[in-house]
Amino acid sequence: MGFLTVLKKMKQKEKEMRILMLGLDNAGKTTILKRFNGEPINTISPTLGFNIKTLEHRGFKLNIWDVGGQKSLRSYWRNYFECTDGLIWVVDSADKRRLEDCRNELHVLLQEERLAGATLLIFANKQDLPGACTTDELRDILELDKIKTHHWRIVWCSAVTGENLLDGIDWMINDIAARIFTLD
Amino acid sequence: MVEPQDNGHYEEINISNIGTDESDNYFAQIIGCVEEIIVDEDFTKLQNKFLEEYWREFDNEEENKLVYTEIFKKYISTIEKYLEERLLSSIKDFNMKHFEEELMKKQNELEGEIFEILSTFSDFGAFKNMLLDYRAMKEGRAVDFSLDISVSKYNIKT
Repeated sequence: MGFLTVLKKMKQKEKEMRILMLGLDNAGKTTILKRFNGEPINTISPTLGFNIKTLEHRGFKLNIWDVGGQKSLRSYWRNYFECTDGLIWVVDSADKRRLEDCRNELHVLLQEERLAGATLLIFANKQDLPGACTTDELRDILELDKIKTHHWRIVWCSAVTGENLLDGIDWMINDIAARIFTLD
Repeated sequence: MVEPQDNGHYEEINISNIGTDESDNYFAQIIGCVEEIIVDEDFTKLQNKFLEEYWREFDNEEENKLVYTEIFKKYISTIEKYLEERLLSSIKDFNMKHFEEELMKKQNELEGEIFEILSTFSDFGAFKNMLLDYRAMKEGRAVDFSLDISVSKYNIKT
């Protein structure tokens, strides 16, 4: 981290958080982002690069970075780790075939030093689809109880209906705020 | 040295202030120098050279390409390297590490335009806009205000 990055971090406005959203392709990351931002979600195509949105919520300014999840893109995720306060891992709860892949990618990610301090929210997305795994099932399959390095929580949601998205975000904001802003 | 006075008391001198003043002076000197560097036309040339090299990669699509991030990182390190080189040649004993530590110590008092400008250098949104503006200019899409201005003779009635 060079001095400009150091400076930017210090000048970061109070109550500003950097959130990184990752997960396998077709998990629904961009749909979640657009849903939060009140944009239409009917014309979303697979993300090949990345999207950034800045949202105001409960007096916090959230800079959310959503990076494409296709296999060929995952090696680029590392370019977005720096200064991350919160990591949202989005899971397609109905894509049972790829849950193992999903678990492996998550656990590799959590070994990353630059994400060490980040709060981890796991969104069990697509709960509106028949046959979607419950959060309890995902907790087992994704071996979430093995995670000792991060504050984490799994929250069910549906990006399409918008259900429970705010519950997840609110938990994450509270966790980050308790960590960062009470230290001053 | 402070000599004991006749009444046996020591004269009070606040040494902590002296130290602060020195480090403040050193810091102010560096910041002054940074200001000079970035208003200098050589710095504008450096930026333009960079814009000229990369503007074709950027477009107005909402989704960002992964390559933007690589170009952005290159931009930050180019500017950092340039500032460091110039500071090294202008200030005796300049030390980047030391400067960073001073920045950290003063992080709650970094007020002023210079810090806004410096933190903009590492703001991705500002960077992308700068490249898109440059592209618009290259493609002649920049707003040409001259079309909106008409110059005519104005007769003042007397």
